[in-house]
Amino acid sequence: MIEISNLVKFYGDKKALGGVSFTVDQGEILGFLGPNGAGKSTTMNIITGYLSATSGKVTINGYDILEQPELAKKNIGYLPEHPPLFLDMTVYEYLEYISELKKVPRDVKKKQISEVMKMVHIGNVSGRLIHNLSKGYRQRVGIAQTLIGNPEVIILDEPTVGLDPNQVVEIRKLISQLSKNHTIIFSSHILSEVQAICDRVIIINNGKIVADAPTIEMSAKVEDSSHYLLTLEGSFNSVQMPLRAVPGVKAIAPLSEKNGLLQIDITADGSLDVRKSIFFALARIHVPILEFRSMAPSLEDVFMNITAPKK
Amino acid sequence: MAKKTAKESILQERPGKSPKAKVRIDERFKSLKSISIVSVVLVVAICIVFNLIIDMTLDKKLTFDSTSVRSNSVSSITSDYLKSLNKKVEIIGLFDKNDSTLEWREYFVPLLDDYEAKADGMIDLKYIDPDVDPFIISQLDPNNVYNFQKNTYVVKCDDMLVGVNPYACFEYDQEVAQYYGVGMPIANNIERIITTDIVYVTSGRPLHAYYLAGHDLPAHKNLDNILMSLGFVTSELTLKGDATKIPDDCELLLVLQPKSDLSLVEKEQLKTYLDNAGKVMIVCDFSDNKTTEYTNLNDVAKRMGVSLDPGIIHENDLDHLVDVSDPFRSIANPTEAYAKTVSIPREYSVENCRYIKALRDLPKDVYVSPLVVSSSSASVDFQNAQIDADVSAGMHPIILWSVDDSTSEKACLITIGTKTFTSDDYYSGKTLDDNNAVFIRSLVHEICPIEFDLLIPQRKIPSYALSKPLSSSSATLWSFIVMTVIPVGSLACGIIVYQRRRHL
Amino acid sequence: MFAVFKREFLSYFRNPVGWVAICLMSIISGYYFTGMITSTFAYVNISVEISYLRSFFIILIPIITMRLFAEEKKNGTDVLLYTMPFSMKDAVVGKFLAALSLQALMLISVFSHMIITVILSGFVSAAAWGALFGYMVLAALFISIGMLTSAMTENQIMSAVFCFVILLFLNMLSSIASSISSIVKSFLKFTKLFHLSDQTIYSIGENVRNAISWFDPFDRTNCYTSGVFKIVPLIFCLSFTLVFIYITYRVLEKKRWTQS
Repeated sequence: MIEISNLVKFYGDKKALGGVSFTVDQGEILGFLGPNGAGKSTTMNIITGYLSATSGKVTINGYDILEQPELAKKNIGYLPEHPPLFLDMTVYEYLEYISELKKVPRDVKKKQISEVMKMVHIGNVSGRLIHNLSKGYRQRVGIAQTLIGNPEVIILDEPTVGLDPNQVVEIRKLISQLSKNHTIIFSSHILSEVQAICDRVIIINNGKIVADAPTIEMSAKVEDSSHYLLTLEGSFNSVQMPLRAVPGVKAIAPLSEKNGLLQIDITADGSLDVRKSIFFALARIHVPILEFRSMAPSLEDVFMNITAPKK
Repeated sequence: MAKKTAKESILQERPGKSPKAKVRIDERFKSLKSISIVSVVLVVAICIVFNLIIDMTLDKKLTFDSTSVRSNSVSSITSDYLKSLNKKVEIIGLFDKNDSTLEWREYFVPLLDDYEAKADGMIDLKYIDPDVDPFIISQLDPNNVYNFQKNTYVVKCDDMLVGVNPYACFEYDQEVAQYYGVGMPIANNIERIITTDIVYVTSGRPLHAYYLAGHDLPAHKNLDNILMSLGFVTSELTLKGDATKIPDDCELLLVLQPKSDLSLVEKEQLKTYLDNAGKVMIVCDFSDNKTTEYTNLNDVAKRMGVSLDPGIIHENDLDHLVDVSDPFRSIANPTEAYAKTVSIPREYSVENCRYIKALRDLPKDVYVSPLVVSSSSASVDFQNAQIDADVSAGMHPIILWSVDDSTSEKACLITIGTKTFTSDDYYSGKTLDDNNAVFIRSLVHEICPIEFDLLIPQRKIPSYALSKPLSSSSATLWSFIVMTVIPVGSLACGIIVYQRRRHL
Repeated sequence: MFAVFKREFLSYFRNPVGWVAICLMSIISGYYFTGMITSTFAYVNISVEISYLRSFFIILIPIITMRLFAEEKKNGTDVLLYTMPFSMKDAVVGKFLAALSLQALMLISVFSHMIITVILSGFVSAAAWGALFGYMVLAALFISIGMLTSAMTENQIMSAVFCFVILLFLNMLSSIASSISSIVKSFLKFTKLFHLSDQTIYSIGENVRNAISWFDPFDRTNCYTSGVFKIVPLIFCLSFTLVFIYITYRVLEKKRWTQS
């Protein structure tokens, strides 16, 4: 469906992408994961033809984006990071404009617009000015825009950024729904989001792909270890030994020790839940736990985990 | 430990450190770039070249007159004439073609463009602003005979020139001029005047003027130039014996400051010439020929109702004197009646003017009118004093124009009592835009007009005035409508649309 | 193309811009027209009014064109133009036509003046229609210039200022031409560079002047005002309009290959 080979992009001397290659098959949901500035948006912009690459090749459905842009673009619906909305138009006017741009035949235009609006649940705001819509609605209008013309590939760049949790849930639901009929690439810097929706994850950092694997494999790798942040009343020396004795705890690192308050970071085996054991181990030596936080694995942890050589 | 190195390796790969040499751009982008740049340059170049070519080849051909009265096209008379034109004619507009303050420009420029287009290369139309090219006037007119001004046209063929004053090519609304003192053109004669001028300049010199020789003819280079500018060829003529005759082609015979009286033969010849509707100009001042008796010359003059007497005009009005101590060098004025009919300067230099007068008993059908006169307090000084001087102080003629009205072709005599209009003595150190030169030029042009009128009908200038003038109240009403309906309407629409949509 | 045209044209009227432009134009032209009908002789010459209106291009054109591309770039909606399955040419032409149509619509006030003139038994000459035609031809040229400045900048104000400066330059082209030619002349005269005669220096200066004012679109379209219909100025303006449209297209297409 989409083939990307050896994409390199320089902004002046600054390297944004350093040889990115991957393929996306039909019907796949691909999560594109990476921290801000990793090159996610750049890659997506190049795939959709909004930006030029320095070298490398993008083909969509067999059409090169550079050589046969119109045919290639016909297969893509793209929602960039900032939804390309005309604030002075109503939702319906906007979608009508988009379908005219995408050359949707006149006779199916109306039907398609109403279908799309139904699908992303914006039918109730079709007559409203985009300017007056909430962020969540705007995002949905943006997604609706990608669906017009029924492209095979839908590319969404950080579709959940800046939304409140309810909206995020809804958008995720929407994406899962769309995945029935479309190939989807979507980028995010939130690991759990990608895990929740995608079949496959590509992790990119500093313009390079650091991992490309099905979500299941990736999850296993990520959950290889888990982190806990504890705030205790006690000294590091006193808690070190008892904690090390807890089965599954791999490492303990002090973060700060001040006024009798100790913050430590515990790395534990991902496959075991060590929280109960830690509580009892500390209870036994009468060290009160003031705070016990389970740290979601940061992207950096993920990178480390997946790039770390196997023991 | 192994973990740490992995972390480092990620952190080390920071963007922005790759040296420029490493950037290898895909050939496809490079070629797109070069296609892009080359095509833009090419398109611009092609566009300019294409327009240059079209400009040079087709501009005149692809010009159409879109007016309903075809006021920008020459009539068939002119266009037929232009087709037969076999000499190169230059038409030079002495102004900036883009000067929008010249309100007559829109009538001239397109029409003359059409002349150029119809003449098939025989007419060369140029616009040269004398403020920009200070040489152009002196180049056209080295002797400054024509006194060409900025904002006029010059029609030129070889050494024949004629100036066209645009303002004189219009007919003005008399009423408007009378009530408001503003010239409101209602019709134009541009085509008639320009075509006539082209006919004239291409005709070679059609007129012949002769100077009567044999009486110490003074130098007359400047007068020659003036006459040439009017289309004359000049030569000297000696009338001796019965065999010599005034040639048939003589348009104007000039008798300049004769030191001696005419011979009998000359007298008879001149009289015959006048009987056949000839035109003669006699210049006879009162300086170095005070004692000469001009009996024969007087006979000729008397034929046209004029006599030349041995007296000198003594100007008593100090305002008319150039030098208070010299009463014989004065400033004369045109008569009111004459100044009304032609546009001429108001002051002329006069020196040692002979006393000339119209006879009391004029020959039948002869009319004499003064053109230039002294002040009303000039007296006549008879220096030889033998003459019964019943001449009182008053206005005395300096130039007289006599016409014999008995035939359809009118005989005509110009008598000038001073040499300051004709002699090189006077003009030395002056240019020919001097008042006296302008006068003599206008006078000769009037008595010997060039008859080339092609009778091209004048063109009405459509009047943009409302045919029913508005009363001030209805004008105000209309102004109010104009200034409110659309502006306020569009603003209101804008506000309504904006307000409505804002709350959608 | 039609989609872009439609959106762009309607957007003029969804925003106050289009209304304000029409209002502005009708005030300017109405001011002149009322001046004519209230004058002593009640001389009403529409073609003179249109010539007068030409000097307001310098303000009206930037207002019309500044938003065409700059606004899209600012709002990020230009992504649509790049990622939709259609050619950028269509977008450029569509926007150009939208701006041109607004300009044509702005002439509604002049039309109303023509009608009033006829009602008041005045004379609407062929020259008036010619002037109107010349006006639109010039408008097309200037809109293409304004569109180019809009495509080259990201900021509407910058775009308007650039456009204004270019139009100002074109407005003054004939005087610029004469001043450059006099500079050249006095330079040659005082430096005695090639020991040229005055006459040669003059003709060099004149040629410089003519070469520069060859580009003067105002001068070229003057003929329409006096009832002369010339094809060549039309070709001149339209061909340069196409050139500017093409350059606009290329400037936007730059994104496909540019490396920065």
